[in-house]
Amino acid sequence: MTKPLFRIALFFSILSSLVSAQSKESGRPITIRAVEGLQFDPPRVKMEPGQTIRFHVLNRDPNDLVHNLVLIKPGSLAEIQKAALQVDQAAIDRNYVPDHDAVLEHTKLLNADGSDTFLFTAPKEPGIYHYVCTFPGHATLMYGALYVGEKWGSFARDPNIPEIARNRAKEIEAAKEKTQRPTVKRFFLEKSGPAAIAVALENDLNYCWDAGNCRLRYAWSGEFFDLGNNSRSNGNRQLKPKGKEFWNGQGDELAYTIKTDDSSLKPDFKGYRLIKGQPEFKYQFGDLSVTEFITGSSDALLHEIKISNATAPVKIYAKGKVTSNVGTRDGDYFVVPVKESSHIKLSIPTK
Amino acid sequence: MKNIFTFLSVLSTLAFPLLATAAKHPAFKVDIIPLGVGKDPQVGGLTVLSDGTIAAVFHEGELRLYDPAKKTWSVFASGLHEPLGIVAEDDTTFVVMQRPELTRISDTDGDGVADLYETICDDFGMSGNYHEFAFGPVRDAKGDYFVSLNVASNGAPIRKEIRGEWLDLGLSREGFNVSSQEWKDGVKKKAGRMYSRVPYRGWVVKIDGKTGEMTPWASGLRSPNGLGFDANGKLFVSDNQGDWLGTSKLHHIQKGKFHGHPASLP
Repeated sequence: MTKPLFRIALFFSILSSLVSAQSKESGRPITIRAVEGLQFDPPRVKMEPGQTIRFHVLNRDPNDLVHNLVLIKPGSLAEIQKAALQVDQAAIDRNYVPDHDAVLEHTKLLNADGSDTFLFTAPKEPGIYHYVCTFPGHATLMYGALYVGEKWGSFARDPNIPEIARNRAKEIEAAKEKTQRPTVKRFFLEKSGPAAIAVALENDLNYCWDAGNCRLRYAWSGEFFDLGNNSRSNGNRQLKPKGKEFWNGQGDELAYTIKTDDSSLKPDFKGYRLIKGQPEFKYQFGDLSVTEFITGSSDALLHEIKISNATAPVKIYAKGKVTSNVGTRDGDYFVVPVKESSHIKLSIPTK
Repeated sequence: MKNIFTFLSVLSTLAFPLLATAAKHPAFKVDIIPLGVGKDPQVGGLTVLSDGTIAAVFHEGELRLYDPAKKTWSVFASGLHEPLGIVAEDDTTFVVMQRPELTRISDTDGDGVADLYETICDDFGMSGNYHEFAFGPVRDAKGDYFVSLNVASNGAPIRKEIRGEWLDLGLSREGFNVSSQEWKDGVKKKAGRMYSRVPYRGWVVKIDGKTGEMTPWASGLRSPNGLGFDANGKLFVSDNQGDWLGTSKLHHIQKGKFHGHPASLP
């Protein structure tokens, strides 16, 4: 072969080797980590029949244990677990990979922080395969399921994954279902400005207080939110309250708790203090220092407003069936005399 | 031919260099700290207290403390809106940048859990666009804070209600109020790739540590997601590539300077 021809041949063989390695794969790689407690993360993965996928296996066990990953045929888990108990010179020579027809692919033995990779082409027939660590003593706990063209159900009730993984899924589900009360959450909320605060109170009462214009926006009874996988979002999601709304100030987006004749006046939010987990909001409104504290009873939301430095009667926003311990009603407002403005108690009935 | 095969096998090893994980670095030790079952690992900011306790803020809104001796986590504060940075003023007082405000969070009754969330500053605008992340804070030698405010992205419009004064330049505020399909089909192009229509998006601002007074400091930034001072007190901010700038860059931030991204220009 002459030199230029050699170079051209070399170029094309390199090219074809790269192209063929690339074109074999027909899906995104699957990464499986060996993690603490003799577990694989994730404990189950999915492929389509006939698909070729690269598996990356990483040992991320913080306890510096050695692991491998052996991919085996459907229905062979118990046999392979049994075979992995056989520890003799032959097993050591095979790096503990059982000498068994059910073994399809396997990694090398991985030390802490070690990794390995292999390509796997799923057969055309659907089935539930397993991956298992066959290092001595690991196989009975440390395995996962590879679903090829099969549907999977709830994580917490999947019989093909280890009990530890099922229990973890149950714990996560239980934690999500139960809203601790009282609780404060801040995220984008419907029917509010972007600086919203959501609060869940006892008696299944909930409200949205807008820190942008410093006032109660709406209140509802029942469940708080369907938080779902909110934490996995980029923050764009605007949450929708669950349960039944019993009060709102819709149509009055520009209203504040206190109405003044000076339309240029805007409340300046100062934050909140938690009293038994419930926030007491504080803000400055011109010369007025204001706090708002909202609690729940069995049939009403109690909205306490404390105003310092008032020099003239104050008008308090109280649309709808809201009642007040002080002042006289004037349309959507209560007009409260100066001496009584230091402690106003509004009551918002839930029915 | 033997040489070719040797070369090819070397090459095929090099073809997937990313598969190899980084070797352990001799200069530091890596500890893996489990977060607990079901906890989202997205950390927005970290700091270390005088006794070695690690304080971290998480995407889902919590400030948690990790005791390295007991290997336990505790929740110090919760209900934060996308916290992306934390400074410890002392071991029970933290300043956290949330999406809507810079907040001082403290435990005033000594029970180990925060009970006071004081708004230091919320004098910047929010259009409700998801991309208006707020980064920082970093604290200078005088105790003042610097934070950076991301511009909005035309990956989404603004929300109906906004905070701060609307800048009437370009697509009208009503123009943003279209269906998501109409937005994708072309309205988004009228918004500009990244946009700054409420105050100080695309800016670094200084916030007085005592009074909370905000001073717009420097403009021309896009996604200024890393802030830090050098040993001489110079402020540096890393910024995302994109739009008119082809690569990510590190800016030496100086008062009154414009740093190249046009969206923040008034």
